[in-house]
Amino acid sequence: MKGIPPKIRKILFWVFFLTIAISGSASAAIDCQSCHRDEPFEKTFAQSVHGINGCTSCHQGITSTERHMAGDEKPRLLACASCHGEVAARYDKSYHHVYQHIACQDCHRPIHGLRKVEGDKRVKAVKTCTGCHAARQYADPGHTGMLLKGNPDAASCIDCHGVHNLPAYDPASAKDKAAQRIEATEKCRTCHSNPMLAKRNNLSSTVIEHYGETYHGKVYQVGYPDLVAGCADCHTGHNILPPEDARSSLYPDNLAKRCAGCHQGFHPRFVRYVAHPDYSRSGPYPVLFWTNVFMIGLLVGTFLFFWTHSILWWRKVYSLQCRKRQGYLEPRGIVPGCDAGRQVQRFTVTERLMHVALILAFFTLVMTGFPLKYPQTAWAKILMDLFGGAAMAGLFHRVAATVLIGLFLYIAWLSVKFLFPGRRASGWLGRLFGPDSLCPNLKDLRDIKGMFLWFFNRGDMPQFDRWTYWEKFDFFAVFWGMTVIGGSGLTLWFPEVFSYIFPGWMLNVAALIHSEEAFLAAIFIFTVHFFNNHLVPNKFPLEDNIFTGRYTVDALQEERPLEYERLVREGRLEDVKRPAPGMITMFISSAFGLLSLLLGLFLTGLIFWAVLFF
Amino acid sequence: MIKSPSMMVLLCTMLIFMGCSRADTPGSQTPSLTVSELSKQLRGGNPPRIIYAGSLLQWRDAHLPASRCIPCDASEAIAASLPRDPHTPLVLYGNRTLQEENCPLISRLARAGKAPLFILSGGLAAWKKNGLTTASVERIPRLAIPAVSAAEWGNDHPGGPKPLLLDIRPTTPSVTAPIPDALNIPLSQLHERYGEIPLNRPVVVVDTADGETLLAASFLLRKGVSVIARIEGGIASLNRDRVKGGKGR
Repeated sequence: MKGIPPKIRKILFWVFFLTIAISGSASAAIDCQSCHRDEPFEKTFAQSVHGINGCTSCHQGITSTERHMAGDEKPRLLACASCHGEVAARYDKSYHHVYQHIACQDCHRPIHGLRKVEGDKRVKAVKTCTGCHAARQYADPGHTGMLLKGNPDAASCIDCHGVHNLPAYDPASAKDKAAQRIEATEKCRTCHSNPMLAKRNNLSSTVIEHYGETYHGKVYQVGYPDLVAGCADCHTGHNILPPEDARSSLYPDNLAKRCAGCHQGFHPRFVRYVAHPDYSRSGPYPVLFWTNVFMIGLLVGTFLFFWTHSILWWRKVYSLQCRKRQGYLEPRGIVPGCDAGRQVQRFTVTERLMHVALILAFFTLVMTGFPLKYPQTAWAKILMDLFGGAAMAGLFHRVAATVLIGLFLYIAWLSVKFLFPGRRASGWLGRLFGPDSLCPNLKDLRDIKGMFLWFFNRGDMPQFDRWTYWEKFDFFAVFWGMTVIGGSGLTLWFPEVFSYIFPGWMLNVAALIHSEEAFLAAIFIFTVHFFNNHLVPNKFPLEDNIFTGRYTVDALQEERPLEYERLVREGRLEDVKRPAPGMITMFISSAFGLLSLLLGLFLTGLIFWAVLFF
Repeated sequence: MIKSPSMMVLLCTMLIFMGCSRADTPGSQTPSLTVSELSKQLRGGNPPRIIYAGSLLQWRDAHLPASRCIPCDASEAIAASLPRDPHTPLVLYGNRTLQEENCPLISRLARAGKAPLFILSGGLAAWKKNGLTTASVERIPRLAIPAVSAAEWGNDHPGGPKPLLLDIRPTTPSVTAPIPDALNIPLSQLHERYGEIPLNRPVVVVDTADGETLLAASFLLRKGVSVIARIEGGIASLNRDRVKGGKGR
């Protein structure tokens, strides 16, 4: 060997090694079949997809035929992974492996006669799965039933569950349950939002979109699918049939059972809730359609009027200020010796505390409610997390709503006391439409007209008494809002109870009204109310008398001359005079007011961002 | 010491809360061990003894290396037969996390006080999910034995004798209400008691939730029992099928 060049020596080595290896493998095969003479090994294995392999390629661990025959050496578990490593790695994490210990050959049977799949693999998969799983339960109805009948659009078992990657969800784990629900719903979404597939099969391609408009869909989208119904919770996983079919989970009798999975104690008409509402079509759901039209009209009308009002007001005041700075107008100064620099009481301590409670409750409602109105946005998820998740945010929302309802009832009681002081009914009409009342009267109509004439330089600014027409609107907007938002909110809070009064689709109406009215309230407060009281140029950046409770006699005289004259005439001006608030009161008032203002404007930005881009 | 009534109230409230929280945590609860902690202990100098608290058939399928099988319903004597070794921990595991109320073996071993006792959190499934290897001894190949829904089982028996319902649920205290006309042989005893099953009747196998019927049916079929089906969804679906109507009215 010494005379042979290294290169030739290397080739000779490999030739020798391969000869031994091949002959060894062949002899192993021959040796195996000399004992294992069963039908599958002799007749079908050679033609199978694995026929090219020797027995010990899969049945590893046998090093000596003699030892094996003596029973001292047993083959190891089938070594499928030595060739199918990538598939095996996926399968090792799958449900069938982790929980059921199902091995490759349990499904790929008969393993010694395994052939290449001919025809549709998806159809073959259904047959393999139903080898163990109940065919009548999983294959006959629904998607797979349609697939077996020849509809290639219908889903096979493997389209939803995968082939080797069925996730090993632990039914005892809430986290896994949530992941499973997301996976199932996403699988449904993949096909059911495909317009071409929907058209071919006479299905609606907007069911997913409309599911997203319900409470279920919104909580799902904001990242808490474990709290609400996903697709399979109502439609089940496999029994997917037309709602008219008595076997279908959507058949009215069966639907009650599906709803009962989460809701208890409801009336049968609860199931008339529309799980995929389409507000844009009057045909199937006329009440939803017309409610939507009304709410849009209300929003457009309110904002058109008040935003126009605010813009014109701003222009007018800003032009007056410019003219003052340019020297065309005399600035209003404090006359020495008079009491213009002194303060008068405008709001009592109770009224100020009520407003603070109102602000805190309102912000809580907006920050916990709007993430559900715009669940697709990133800020919705951040806000939800900030409140400790959807369930906790829901709790905050309900607590804040209860505070508002309490305020509403208290104000209603104060109103009754105002109208009937000492249970005295006489003169209640005069008090109702009098200058101290927040009830609109004919003068308010004249004031609105006068304001618009003033905006266009056609007259002087109207002279106001204790309450202006926009303040009265703010007050009644809260009352209207509380009735509408509060009523619809209570319906959504206790849907099962209200099913004894209304059919299920009223929940859709309540959800729509609650959502749109909340938008109206929030944007009105953060734009119109903020402008009227704080952002109008002569008050910018903050009018703090709602927090300090006082403002100057000068401001009273300028802003509410009729009230000033009335107080002087009735000799009550001295009674309402107060010393200026202390420094700490002023600081806290300004800080709280400005922070509230900034938070409101920030939330407005987030809401407009969602409206424009989602 | 306590100067004001409000302080007294505060202290009383704290004590009540502490009492409540103590009452919520049962003192007899067996500590658990995570997969990573167990694998770390196995690599250490004093590896724990590991016991699979399921059936022998399941153990043959897949188990943690170097673990032995003592089923949950093993007698007091088997628990007492374990050698006493207070320095070597004893780790119990099942397919999932073992629950004390479903596995009397835990309390029996705790009473015997042979060794510090732990439960593997997540059980064999968690071990597998972590990508760790398992051992297998004469695994029972699964055969294609169809599952039927509870409704199918209740409705049609076309011709031939009525199938025997074989209930393989464990006989632990948590399992109540035996199925009428069914033969109960817990999976943990099936390898010893399969001879009690008549060979001249078709058999349908039912479990708690369909978890192990395929294993049991495959085993029995190889032993000559004519298993024809398994109940899909287990006893839960059988009961569901019997209950008419939902919670809603």
